Amino acid sequence: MSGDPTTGADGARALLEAVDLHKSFGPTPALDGAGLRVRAGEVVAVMGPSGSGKSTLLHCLAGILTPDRGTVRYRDVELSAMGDGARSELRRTDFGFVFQFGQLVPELSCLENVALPLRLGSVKRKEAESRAREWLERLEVADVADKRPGETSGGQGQRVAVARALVTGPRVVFADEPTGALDSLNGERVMQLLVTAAKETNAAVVLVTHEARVAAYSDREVVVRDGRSREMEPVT
Amino acid sequence: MRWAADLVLGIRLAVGGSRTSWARLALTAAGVGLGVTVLLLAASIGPAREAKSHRVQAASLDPATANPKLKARHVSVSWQGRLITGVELAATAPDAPAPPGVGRIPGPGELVVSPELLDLMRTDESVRARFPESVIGVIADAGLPRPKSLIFYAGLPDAHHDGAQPAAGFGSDQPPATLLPIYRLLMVAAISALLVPLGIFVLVATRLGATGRGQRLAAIRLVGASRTQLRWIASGETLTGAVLGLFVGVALFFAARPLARFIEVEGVGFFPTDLLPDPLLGAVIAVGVPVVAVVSALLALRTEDVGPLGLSRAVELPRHRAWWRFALIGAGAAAILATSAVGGYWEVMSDARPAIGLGVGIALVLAGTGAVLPWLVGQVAHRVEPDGIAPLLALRTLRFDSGTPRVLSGVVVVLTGSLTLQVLLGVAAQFTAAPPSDAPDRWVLNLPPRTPVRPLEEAIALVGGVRQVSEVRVHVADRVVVTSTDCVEIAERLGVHDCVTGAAYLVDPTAKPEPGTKLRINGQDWVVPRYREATGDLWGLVVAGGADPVLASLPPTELVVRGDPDSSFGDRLLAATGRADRGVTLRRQVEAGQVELFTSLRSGVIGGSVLLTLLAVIGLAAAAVDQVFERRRPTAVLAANGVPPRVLAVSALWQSAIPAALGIALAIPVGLGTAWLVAPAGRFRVDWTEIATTVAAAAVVVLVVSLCTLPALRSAIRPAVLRTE
Repeated sequence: MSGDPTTGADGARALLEAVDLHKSFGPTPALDGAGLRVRAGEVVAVMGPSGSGKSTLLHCLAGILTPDRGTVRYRDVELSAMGDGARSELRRTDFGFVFQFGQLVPELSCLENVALPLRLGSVKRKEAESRAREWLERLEVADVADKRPGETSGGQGQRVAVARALVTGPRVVFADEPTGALDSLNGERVMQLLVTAAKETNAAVVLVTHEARVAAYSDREVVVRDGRSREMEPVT
Repeated sequence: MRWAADLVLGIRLAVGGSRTSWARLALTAAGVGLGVTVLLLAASIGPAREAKSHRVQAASLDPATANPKLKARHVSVSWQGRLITGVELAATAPDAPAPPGVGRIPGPGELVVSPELLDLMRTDESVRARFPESVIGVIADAGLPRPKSLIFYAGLPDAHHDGAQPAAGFGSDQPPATLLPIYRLLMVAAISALLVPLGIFVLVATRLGATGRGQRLAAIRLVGASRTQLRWIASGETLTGAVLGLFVGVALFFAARPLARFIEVEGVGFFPTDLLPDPLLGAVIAVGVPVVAVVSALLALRTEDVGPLGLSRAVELPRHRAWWRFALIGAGAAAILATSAVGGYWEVMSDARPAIGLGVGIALVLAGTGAVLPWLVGQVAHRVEPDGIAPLLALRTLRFDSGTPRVLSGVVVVLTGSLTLQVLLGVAAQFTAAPPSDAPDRWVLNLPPRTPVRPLEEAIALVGGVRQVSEVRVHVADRVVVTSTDCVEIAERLGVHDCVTGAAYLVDPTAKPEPGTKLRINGQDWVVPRYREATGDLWGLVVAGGADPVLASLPPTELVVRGDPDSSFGDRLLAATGRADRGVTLRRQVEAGQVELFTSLRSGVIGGSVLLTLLAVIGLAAAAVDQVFERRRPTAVLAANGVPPRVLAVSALWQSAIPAALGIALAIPVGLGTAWLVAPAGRFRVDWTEIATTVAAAAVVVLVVSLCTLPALRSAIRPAVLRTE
């Protein structure tokens, strides 16, 4: 059975909801009526082939991109109605991000990278670094706290990125191919830590991937193809 | 205080600690530092000139109106084209003051010399021979205009007491001589023209690593920094480099300052202590450099719009509008033409108002020229489709590159300005250097008042190569200038061919004495003879005096010697007259002094241009290396796909060569065209050697810059880079 991707299987109230999203880059359409509904604490995998529009969907959900048409509502507030300041604050407080590359600032140590979202809010340096250190320990990378991202392995770097995504206690973590640059062993470990930590903090995870073994960590899967989304049958 | 935390985060990013970030910071600090050093030097010129003029004034004789304590006279010695000036003096009161920097007044047969003159006397016997006195001391810094001044104080010989002037002491309260408005204006224009590229250089230095910075800021945007926060972070980052550069610049300036004692170019030199920036200008530099850096970073952010996913800047640089750039040049040319229509070259030389019009015109042309280059480079990069891979890569890269044309804009402004100024100063020097009467074999000796002529003439007669000596006497009686000399001199200077002894000519249309009028000359009556009017290089009522006893009783003011045209003849002449009276000077020395002013100004312009070209080389090299570094991934991809390293290196060469060639092609016609508009008709000369030198220098600059990029390029095309990227 294929379900409506905008409604949850149990009909619970959505934390984040996208309806009929359209987005084009020049003449190339990326989204063509895609939608998605994410509830608190659930892990949703967005799957699809390269160029299907899954990353664009994630960026629209996170308020990084504004759709040409359609709406994205987070806790009943439409993101496109928010100003840049409000959306920035949302990214700092309620959202966390884990991307495949380049989201860590190479000039800062891993500890400083994790503490960065807290410090951009008005958390004092000591407190921010103390909380960051807790998360690094939780993700088993406390030993790289004082190293810069360039001095760590790919797996360590991604765990630091996960720690940074979770340090503010976000309600939603957006993960775009978080294991794409890792070997399978490291990929498995990063996914375990991400999902476990998210469950512990009741954070929802929107996980963009094209790997089935990564998608296996999700509660449900949505497939995006040619800019349209479709809910997959629950795996039994 | 959220902004303060963001600013601190920016500072933290700048001092990231990685090798790359330190290298970037060092490059920025070095670039800004060099710029600041030159700015501080420029800001020190005013105070240095003031300090120098204070010393000159303190050492100048205070003519006594009452209560004289000294007798003194100015003398000068010429040696191989260098002028050694001095004062012969004698105390006439027990409390007579010594000159500044000198312990006591030298007595007859005694000499106090400047350190440079002492060195010269020690190393060259012929100089020593010109000073028969014994050296009793060296003039201290306080008494020297500049470290390498060739000056002396000598005891006044008894024979010259009558010719010396009474003086109360040293120190004149007269304002120092100022330059003509046109030169002041040209100097201001030159300094402004030199400051424009300096500003651009500082700007480029603070914008190094802009792409990396954009990516870094995007990562921070992703985790929730707002645009306002980003501005503060970027400001903090830029501020660090700028402030560090400021410290580096100040340190470099003070470290290099002691060297000033040993550097003198074309008679322009200062003591290290003279070089202290004007406090106001110093404050402007201290505040201005960081502010300019931060403002430029913020302006760049406005055009780049750093989003959470990275730079959302247009892939290629936006196409530039052309009209306002050419309008600036047009407006400048119009201002120059309008000034020329109102007043000719000489009006502009002497009157401040047309000079302002001219200055504004030149400044507009220069600004326009600097603005046209990026547009021109953009046009060429978009329209030219070369066949070769290397020029194709270079032109494509230039579409993305704003740094290289920006730095070269500065160089083009300097080139254009210096070409214009050099032609104009050349014109001025032509006028001063070549008075029409001065035939090369004619040497005019100015005599001090009441100097005994007989010994001088005897000394001159002993100089080999002397053909003829004429005496010229000038006296003013009842507002009539009476000049007496022989027919040889009159024929040459007034161009008359029928001169006989007793003939008279009037070369002063303002005073026409009636023939037969009696004038009192040297205490005797003298009757104005019949005369006819003439023009030429003598003044007043010119009389072929011959044996006229009244005129013959006047002491000669000039001796005109006809002899060898060779400059060593002048030296021999002065050496001979110097033994009788060191106060005798060659008129060419005085003229040489005026020419020296133009030479100094030209040298200043050339020196400034060279210094800024060096800065431009550093700026271009830094921008080029930075770009290779920032584009190492596409470069590595090209190398991995089989593009030979030689092609990539040649492409780097093209990338500097194309804008440089366009810059020169722009600077030469605009610079010379501006000079042609300003210079008086018939006086415009193009120094092709200079232009050839400019082109050669530009070629060297391009080559050096390209060579600088080679190590970075070699590192970028290693296969390991592609893997890590």
